[in-house]
Amino acid sequence: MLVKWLCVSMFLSGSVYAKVLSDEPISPIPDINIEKPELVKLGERLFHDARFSSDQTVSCASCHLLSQGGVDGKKVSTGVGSRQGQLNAPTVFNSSLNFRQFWDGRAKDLFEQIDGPIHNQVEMDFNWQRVVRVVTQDERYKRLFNKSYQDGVTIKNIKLAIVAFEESLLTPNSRFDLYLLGDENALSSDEKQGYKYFKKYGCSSCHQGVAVGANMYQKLGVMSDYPFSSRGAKNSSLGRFNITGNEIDKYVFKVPSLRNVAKTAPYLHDGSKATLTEVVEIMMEYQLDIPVRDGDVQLIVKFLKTLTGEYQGNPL
Amino acid sequence: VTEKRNSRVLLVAVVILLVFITWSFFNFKINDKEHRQHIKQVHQLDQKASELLQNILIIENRGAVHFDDIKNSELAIEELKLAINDGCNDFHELYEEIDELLLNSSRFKSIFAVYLNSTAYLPIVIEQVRERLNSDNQKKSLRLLNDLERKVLIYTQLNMGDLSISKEVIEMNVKSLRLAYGESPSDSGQLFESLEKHIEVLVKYAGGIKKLNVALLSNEVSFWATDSIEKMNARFNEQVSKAEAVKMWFYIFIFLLSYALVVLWRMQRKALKEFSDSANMLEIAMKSSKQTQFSIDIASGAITLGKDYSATIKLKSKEFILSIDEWLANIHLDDRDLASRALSKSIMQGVPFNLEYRWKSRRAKWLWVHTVGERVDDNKPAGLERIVGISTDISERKREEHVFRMLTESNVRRSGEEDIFHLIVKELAMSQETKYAMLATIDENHNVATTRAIWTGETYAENFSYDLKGTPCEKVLEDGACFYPDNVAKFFPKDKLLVDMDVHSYSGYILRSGDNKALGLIAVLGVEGLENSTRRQSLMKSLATRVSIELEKEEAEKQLENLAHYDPLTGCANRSLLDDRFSQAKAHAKRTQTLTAVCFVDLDDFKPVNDLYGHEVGDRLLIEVASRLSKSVRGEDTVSRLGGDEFLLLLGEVNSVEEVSLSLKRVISAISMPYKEIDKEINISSSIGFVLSSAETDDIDVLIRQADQAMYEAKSTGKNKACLFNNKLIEQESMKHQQLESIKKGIDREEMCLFYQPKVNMQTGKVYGAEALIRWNHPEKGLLPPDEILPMIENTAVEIALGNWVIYQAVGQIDAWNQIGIRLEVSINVSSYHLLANDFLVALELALDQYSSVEPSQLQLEILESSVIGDLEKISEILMICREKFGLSIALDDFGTGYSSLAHLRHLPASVIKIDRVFVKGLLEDKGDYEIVKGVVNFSQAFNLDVIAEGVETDEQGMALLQIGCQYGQGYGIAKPMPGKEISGWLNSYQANRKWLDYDTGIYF
Repeated sequence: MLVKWLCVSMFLSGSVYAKVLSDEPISPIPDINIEKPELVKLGERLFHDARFSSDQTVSCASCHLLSQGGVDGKKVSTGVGSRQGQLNAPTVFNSSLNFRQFWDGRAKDLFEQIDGPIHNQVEMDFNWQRVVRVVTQDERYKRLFNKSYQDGVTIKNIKLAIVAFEESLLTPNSRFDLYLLGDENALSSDEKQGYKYFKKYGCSSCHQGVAVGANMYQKLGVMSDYPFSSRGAKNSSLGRFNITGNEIDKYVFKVPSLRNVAKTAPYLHDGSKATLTEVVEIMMEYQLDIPVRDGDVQLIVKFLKTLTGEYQGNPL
Repeated sequence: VTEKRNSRVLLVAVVILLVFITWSFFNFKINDKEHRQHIKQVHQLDQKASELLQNILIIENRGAVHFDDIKNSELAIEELKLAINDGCNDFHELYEEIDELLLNSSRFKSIFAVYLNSTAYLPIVIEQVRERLNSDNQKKSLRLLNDLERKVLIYTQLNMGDLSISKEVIEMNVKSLRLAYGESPSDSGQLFESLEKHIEVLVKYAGGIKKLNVALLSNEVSFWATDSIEKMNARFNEQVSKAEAVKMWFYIFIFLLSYALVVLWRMQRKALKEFSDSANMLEIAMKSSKQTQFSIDIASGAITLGKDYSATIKLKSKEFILSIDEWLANIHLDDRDLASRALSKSIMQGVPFNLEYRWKSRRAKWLWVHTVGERVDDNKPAGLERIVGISTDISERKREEHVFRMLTESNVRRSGEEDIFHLIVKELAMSQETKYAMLATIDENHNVATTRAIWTGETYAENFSYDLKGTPCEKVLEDGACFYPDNVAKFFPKDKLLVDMDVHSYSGYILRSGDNKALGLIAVLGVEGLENSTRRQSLMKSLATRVSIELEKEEAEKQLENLAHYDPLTGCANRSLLDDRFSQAKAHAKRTQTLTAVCFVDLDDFKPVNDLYGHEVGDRLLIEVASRLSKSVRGEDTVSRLGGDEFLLLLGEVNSVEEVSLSLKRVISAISMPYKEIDKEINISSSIGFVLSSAETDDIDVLIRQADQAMYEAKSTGKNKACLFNNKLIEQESMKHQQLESIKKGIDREEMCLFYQPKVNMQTGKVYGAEALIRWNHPEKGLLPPDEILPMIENTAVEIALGNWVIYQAVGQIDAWNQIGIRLEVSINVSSYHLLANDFLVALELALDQYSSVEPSQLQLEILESSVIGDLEKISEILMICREKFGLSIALDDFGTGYSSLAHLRHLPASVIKIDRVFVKGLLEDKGDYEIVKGVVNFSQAFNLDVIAEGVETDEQGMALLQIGCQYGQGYGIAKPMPGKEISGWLNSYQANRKWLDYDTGIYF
């Protein structure tokens, strides 16, 4: 109760509460601790194997290029037979930090998520029996599986290997993380200012935590209706509504992680915004309804660029 | 057997129960580890739920600025939820509560983020508005703004607030501020819109958070977690107690089983002990009855026999000593080795011996002896060892054993001298060492006995019958048993047989049926004396029982066979025996190259006998018929009754149909003889159909059917005769039946009609009459002539119906013509069958009565000459009535084609003769025809009859007829038959034949 009173009095006095009572809203990515390197290796091989698609052209890595920030840089991805998907591919980096998978959060975790693209007709258009057949017929896979698992090739083991690999895709040591860890010189003054605005304008209300997002859902168009390119029933812009069917879940999406955000253009669920400036302006208008000076937006963008981390010791 | 099965069932049940209980015992393992794990997880879930709540409260109270903790709590809760899933319903409510908690937590994050932003930004935007108002000096608006700010802040503070401030109040304030603010000139309105929007969002989201707070804080995860744990515990306890129960029952069952086994074992032991005790006692008893002692001095090899021994082996002296070798020499060769070995073993090694062997008595008879012996050398000085033992004469027992063995080994009765009765008398004689043994059955009056088997020492004698009176056998039947050890002939002096057979002793036993009726006796007759023996009594009793059973069985089989093969009423063969006999006859016929006749005999009008005199007389008649049938065929032929009054004869060795016909004539006349022995009045005839078996049909069923068919033919052609089956019969019959049916339908549908062919006087050209001819206006075949109708309905009810219809129609037509002034004589064709029908005269009278304009003389009946074969007198009588009483004229149709035209002419009251068309047709070409026509015309003139020629087709024919003297004619040359209504038209256009008119008969005569 005392805390509450304190809080209320702070609020009344108009001062910024965050400084007083809590730490920063963002926390650094912890060090990667790989327990089974050979399993990660196996997962990596599977991740890059295009034989798990109906025309043997699409692998996981086709849409989640590790060299391009874990995405394919396209508005929407291209699957088997050059079929076009409906949504912008989210990055595979740090995906293990996501509280849910997919834009609409329909998969509980990575293990569950893998079923999606494998079966999706515009993605890999395959099924597990066939995956198992391909893997079983490959002597090398068989050896690797027998090394990592007692029961050899099973659907579950294939998925676990991929998950292990994906869990290794953390990007620590971003300049911002270094700053958080106490290196005052890691950020320029502009970038520090950008971070300040990031918090002040309320970006950090949703984009917080270790992943700078990815731990909650939010509606796109909180303050005023977002002009979706398509607003019909049962389209991908309806977000979680397509899963729950609740009116309240219309246009609600998983808040994306802003880690490495500078590397994962284009933006938004439909990949409709090509630059960070555009997307920050949109956030200001529809999510916060705060008139912002152009300079402030640029500072925020500068801050966002400091979130780019390293994979295997190299910057993304 | 039942007991054995029961115990087996019991055993199986026990084993199943044992398996089941053991299975349950090992299956009801309690998984308490899993149970504890679940409980732990539910506890953790509860813990995590409160942790989540705590994290949310921390956020609300700005204790943290990111949702990672909330997220982690959420994920942990979900993990636990998945882990707990146990497939039971225990967690249903808990799960629902958890889901709601997670949902609310998720909503909280979204809402709180917005709320946070608006609370942060609202003061900024208010400040900006305030500045604007200050600069414009808008006092009122400022006051309103301050008031609004205060109210919003109070309203949007979580967990605290003035209840008087509601969403509506704030909205009102915003409105009044907007009014006041509207007066401020220096604003574009954008700033105020922003203020409005943020207030709106803040109010809305604060409300949402408040609601979520209530929902979150009032979550019942703890309650349901406790509840779930309680349920789990309850279920677990239930399982535990169930397992305890199973365990308890397992132990109880094992205990009971062991106890039962012990009890059974003890019972068994007791029973065994009792058994051996009684066996010992029995042995003692037996030994004491017939034992004879002996002792053997081993040193000297001398055998000393006991007192009774001498008697047993039929020795004279009272004590006897013999050497071991002598003893052995008297033993049967087959047994000697065994005996000598046993004895030497006993002597050398002291092994007790127990022997059954044959010993030759002094009378050179083989005795069966049972000897038990043992060396006794206790307390005896060396050289004084002895063997002491007991011998028993078991010859009688052995013989009995033999008898019974023979009986059991030969329980199948065979015929002849090897049947069981022969075997028994032989064995009986052997066992009793008598010369004779016999087995006899007696008649119902107990006067005469007939032997079934008699043994005479070496062979069986021929069976014979003898008078019981004054024989020991009679005594047996009176007393049930009798025994004469000696001089039996003295007691029965009248019994010559005893004397002839030199019988001295007699022992007999009665044979009784199950219901205690005397059946006969068995007896042994000895030429020597016979000792009294209870063993013999019981043996004979046993044998008597066995023999009685066999006799009863034999009787029952005989009856059964009778039932199976003979008709119980008449004693004729029944159908099954008939089949047998037919097979035999078939085989016989094949061998002898002859045929077999199957004759179906059916009594004519048997039913009235039953109806008039009752079934008893009917049955007696059938019995008598059966006996006559049997007498009138040969002994090897078969008379069988098929049922009712139908009999079937199988006549074998037949060479021709004539032969069978001859035999059947005999049968028919035998049956038609008066049945005086039953009732003077009863006379009955029979109809027989027969068929000869041939290569193509030797199936008895087919033959019977064919014979039946032929019998039917016999019935329909006059009864009291025999008909041979003919293949065409069947086809004709079925064809006829079909046609008859269709004609019947035709009549019903009124497809029949009458055509009329005019009859003219050729000399004068006058049309004086017409012949009515039947036509069938067939819907498919068109107009059909009488040939297509009449032959099919011959001698059937249809013929009568159609005949009556014709009468009615024709008379009606005459009437119709009369009405229009046409007067014609109409002739109709009447068959003799129709004529003889009961209602013929009635129909005629009715028709004439109805049409009163019709003169009887206008109607002429044409009787087909060739059809008059039946009762000529009767026909004549009816025709006479027609002529005399009704006044009709009678014509003889088709005259000259029948067999006895002249005879008919004499008998039938005809006034007109119709010359058949065949003669008219051949009139000009054939001399014979010409002569016939001429003859007919001549004699009809002599008899003063009119003559009319049918089938006049040409002028020349007409002229020839006129020349012969036949004036009248009909035929195509004059007019074809036509429907009645066309007659008047035809009459109008009719022109007499000029040639005929011009012809002057006189010239040619």
